[in-house]
Order: sequence, then C-alpha cells, then structure tokens
Amino acid sequence: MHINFRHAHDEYSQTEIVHLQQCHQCQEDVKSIEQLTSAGQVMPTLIPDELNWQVIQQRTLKREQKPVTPATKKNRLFIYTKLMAIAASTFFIAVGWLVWSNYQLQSQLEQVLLVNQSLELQLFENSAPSFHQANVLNEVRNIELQLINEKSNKRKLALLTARKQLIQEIVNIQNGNENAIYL
Amino acid sequence: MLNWDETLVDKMKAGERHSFEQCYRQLSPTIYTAIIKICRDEGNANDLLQDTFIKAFEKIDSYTFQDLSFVAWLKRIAFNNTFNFLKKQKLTLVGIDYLDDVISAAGEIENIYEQRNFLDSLLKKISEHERLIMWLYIVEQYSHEEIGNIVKKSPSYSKSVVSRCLKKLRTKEEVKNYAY
Repeated sequence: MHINFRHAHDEYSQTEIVHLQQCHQCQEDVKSIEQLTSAGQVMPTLIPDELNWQVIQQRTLKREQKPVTPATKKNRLFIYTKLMAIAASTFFIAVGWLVWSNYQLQSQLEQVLLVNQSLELQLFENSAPSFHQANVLNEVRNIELQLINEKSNKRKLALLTARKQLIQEIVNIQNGNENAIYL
Repeated sequence: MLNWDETLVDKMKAGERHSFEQCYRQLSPTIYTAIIKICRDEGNANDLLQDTFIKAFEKIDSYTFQDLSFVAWLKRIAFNNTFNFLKKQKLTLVGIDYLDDVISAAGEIENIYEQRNFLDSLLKKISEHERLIMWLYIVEQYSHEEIGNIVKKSPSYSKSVVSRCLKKLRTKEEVKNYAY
C-alpha cells in the first residue's frame, strides 16, 4: 500500500516517512510532485490577445444596455402570466354564463309553450266564444303575428307569457261567466 | 507574484468602469495561462477566458470575501467553465507526440528542455481532463476534496488520476532510459 501524495509544502506523518524510506516508487512520485510543483511555480504567464478585452467589453455593454434586468423580466413575466390567467378565467366564466342563461331561457320558453298549448286545448272545448273572448282572441292573434316576426328569445318569452295570460283570461271567462254574450 | 488589491472589488461593485478593465489587465494572464495549459487550444482558451470574466463581472455583487479571495473565486469560475467545456467536448485524446519525444535523436537537448518544462512535458502527454486535475493539484495546490468538487467526483477519483499521471511520467522515464 503506497502513501497518499501530498502537496510539496505538506508534511508527511511518521509512518509515511518510514514507508517513503523503503518504497522506491513512492520516492520517485514524491520527487516528481516536487519537481512538477517547482516547474509550475516558475512557469511564465501568457498574455492573452487584446481582442479578448474588446469582446468582453462589447458583451457586457450589450447586456447593460438592455433596459430590463433579469429580476424585472421575471416580475413582468409573472404579471403577464397572471393577467393571461385572469383573462382566460373571465372568458370561460362569460361563455359558461351565456350558455347557462340561454339554456334557462330555452327551458322557460318550452314551459310557456306547454302552458299555452294546454290552455288552447281548453279553449277549443268551447266552440262558441263570447264577445269579450273574441276581443281577447283578437289580441292573442296579434301577439302570434308578433311572435312570428320576433327574433329575440327574451321578447318571445315576454310575448308568450302575455299570450298565456290572455288565453288564461279566455278560459276564466269561459268557466266563470255563464251570462256572456255569444257571437 | 500577483499584486491583487481586494479594494478593486468594491470599486467594481460600485460600477466603476475603469476598475473592470484594471481587474482584467491584472488577472487575465494568470487565468489565460491556466486555461490554455489545460485546453491547449488558443481559440477555446480565448472563449473560456471571455466567458470567465463576463460571468465574474455579472455576478460581482454576489461575491463576498468570506471563504475565498477574489482571485480564488475567479479561478473557481474559470475551472468550472473549463470543466464544463471539456465535459461537452468529451475529448480524452492523449497527446500524440508521446512516441516522437521518446525516439527523438536530440536526446540531450530534449532532456534540458524537459527539465525546464517538466510540467509542460507532463501536460502534453495526458488527456484534457487529466490536465485539469493535475493543474489544480500541482499548480493551484488544490486539495483532492476541492478537485472532487470541481470535477463532480470523489476525492479518491482525484487521487487516482494524480497517481495515474505520475505513473505515466514514470513509465516515460523508464522507456527513455531503455531507449538510450
């Protein structure tokens, strides 16, 4: 087992010294390390090309000229990411709300239509309408004409609600007023 | 001997442009010599020298005189850069002029030359990776633990590389003795 080589200025332990006195290989290696160290100490330094300093100057200047420091850059990126996330969430909420309200409107329309249909069925049971019923029916016709031309779902819903009320009124008249004048 | 004034660091931290140049002028020969002796390629050595100083100037605010002097800190950057460069290159070619040296007819002249350039002679015969370790051990007087940290290996790895290089040197001497 050979010794661990130390630096030239380091001291060897007593055991290592004893080993060194006996081992030719270790003696050679220690000698080599000493020689190499002294060679390293007298080694002349080399002067680098002047161009290197110019490149360093240019490269450091370029980085200095950038108005955004890495820290600010990071912050800006963080803000952008946050803004993007907020915008995306707002967009999805808006789309969701639109879909939901449309669905609600559609179901309301269906309900009103069903009520209208059932009322109409009740109405048809009475073949001879009264004078007042005829007036109300006229209003119902007007609403139906408006319904045909109407594009907005909200307006349609309002018209259908009004129609429902009118038909309800006719049915009420029919059920409650036995003395009405019939046409 | 390097006459480095540590107050120059404070001036650089304060952003005095002239102090950066002063720092470069004073320390670049030492750094350049180390890098070129390890790489043995002028182009790569220039690139590594530039990278070292740029990195040091950029990170000057993070340097504090606690564990290392500025020169040691700068050298650490240079050696880390060099190690990373060598790792990328993965060049482990052994100097091809090994045999030429041995069979050289001008034995006596070569002997004198090699005595004066003993270290150069060794560096010529080993791979770039080994050169880095030997440079750190012999010239920079780094401990095996410190070398291990730089080359990201254990201290015993550094010890074995040093031992292997010394063996190469010994073998060369033996071949030479046999040849003449």
